[in-house]
Amino acid sequence: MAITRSSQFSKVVIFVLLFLLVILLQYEYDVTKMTLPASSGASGVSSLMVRMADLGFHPAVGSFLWATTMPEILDLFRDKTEYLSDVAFVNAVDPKMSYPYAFSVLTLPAVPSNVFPDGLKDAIAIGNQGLQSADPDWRIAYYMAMDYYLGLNDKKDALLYFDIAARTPGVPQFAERFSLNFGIGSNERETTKELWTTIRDSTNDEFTKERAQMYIDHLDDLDTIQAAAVQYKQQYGAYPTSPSELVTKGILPAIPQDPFGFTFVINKDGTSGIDLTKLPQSISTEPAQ
Amino acid sequence: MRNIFVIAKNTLKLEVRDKILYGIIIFGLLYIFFTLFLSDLVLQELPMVKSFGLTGIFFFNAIIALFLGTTSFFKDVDRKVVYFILSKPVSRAQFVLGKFFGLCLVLLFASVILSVAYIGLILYEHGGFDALGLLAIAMQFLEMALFLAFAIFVSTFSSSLLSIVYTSGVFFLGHVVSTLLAAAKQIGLGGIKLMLVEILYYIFPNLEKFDARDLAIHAVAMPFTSFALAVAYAGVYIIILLSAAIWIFDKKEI
Repeated sequence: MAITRSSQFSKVVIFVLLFLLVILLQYEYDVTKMTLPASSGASGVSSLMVRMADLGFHPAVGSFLWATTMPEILDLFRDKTEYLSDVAFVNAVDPKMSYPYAFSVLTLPAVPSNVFPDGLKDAIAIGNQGLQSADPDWRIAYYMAMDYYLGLNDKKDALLYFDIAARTPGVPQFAERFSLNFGIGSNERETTKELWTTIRDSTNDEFTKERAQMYIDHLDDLDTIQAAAVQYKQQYGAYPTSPSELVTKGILPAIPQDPFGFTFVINKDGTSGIDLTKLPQSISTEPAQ
Repeated sequence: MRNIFVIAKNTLKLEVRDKILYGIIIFGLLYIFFTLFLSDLVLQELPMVKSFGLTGIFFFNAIIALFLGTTSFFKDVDRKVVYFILSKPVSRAQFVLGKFFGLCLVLLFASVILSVAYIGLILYEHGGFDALGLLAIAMQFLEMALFLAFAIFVSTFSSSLLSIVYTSGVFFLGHVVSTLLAAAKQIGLGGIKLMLVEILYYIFPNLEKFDARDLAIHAVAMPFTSFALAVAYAGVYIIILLSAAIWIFDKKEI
């Protein structure tokens, strides 16, 4: 009898110890666990209910909700604004899913302003939220840059967002090339350089300063080659066919090294540009999507 | 040890012949192929394809675990198969452990079939080899093993129908309990109410830690510490549940 009681007692003790171990493991897990962005904003409470009830299927529920929300963009043309609240809800259920942000930034400004006047404002707000919360997705910054440039006529912010797009992992070749060379045309180069100079001089962020300087150097190199080409024409009667001729004839000591790695060319009208057939190593291959 | 292996092997043999299991696996495969059309609906966005695929595998594995865990053990007792087994030099503990490992093997069999289909789907959608997705499926398997252990534990003292109710309840609460605690803190719950939620949170099987789907879908690697703690948690909880099952089954008159 005594042995049975002792055995029962030891079993209970072992169970209690095991449960204490479970509690300890749970506590340690909570201390060390990685957390993805949680729901926030106006949809916070209702999205919390969804996240409670979906048994951990947040991305699948978010994807499903998004599949039903996406067509609602067309309702904006009929002055129905459910799309905005629904996309906010989708973003609250799965804040890391980047596509709803990118889609909204691209499409909201396309709705005529007489029907939906806040399209651009909402697109920028959703885009900024996406840049903070979502998986890195070049499309968000790229479309935002387009919105700033085409919709708001704000070239300075367009430059900043194109730079973000160019630095986003997974950016395709065409988008990276376009983003890095936005505003390099000879007729707009001066304005672009002034804007980058303003950005460099007004920011306290060292990284932004450094990036702005790279763009200024890139534009300076294009100016140097173009000025040398003009000098070449004055001396020899025609524009050179490549920057190397400028070095051969002693007009330039060396071809400038582009900070982004592009190869410079001289066009038939004497303007300078980049060689689209020889892209830098960093963007010469199409990244996997 | 050999007895446990033999019972596990026989459980596997018996269960893989079950037409219901194949039915569930076929539905799982159909769902994964249906994901191809779902992906078209969401413009072939890879994270969404992954989310639908991993959710499908989890959902069908959960159905299999619920179906096996609540019926297999109970069937053996109900159909008196257990008399025949226990008349041999096999202890009740070995029988419980053999059933558990056997059912885990069945679950592994189903997981492998569904995982191959999922990996094929992601390759077809140009997503490359989804190693993080496989890790998420492995974590799901751990969760299902814990789930099976709970189902076996419940089956030792209740009927098949009640086992389904209890096990489903644990599955639901196990996933809700983390959000429940967060919500309790968010709404400013305090005192004894918060303490009760915290007790529930720490004592109840907390299944959220096995959810690596969120991370895999967004291509974020699970930290090794979290992985190791989740494995340890599952291991300790399974030991508790199986020990309790053996203890109850030992005392049960059959």
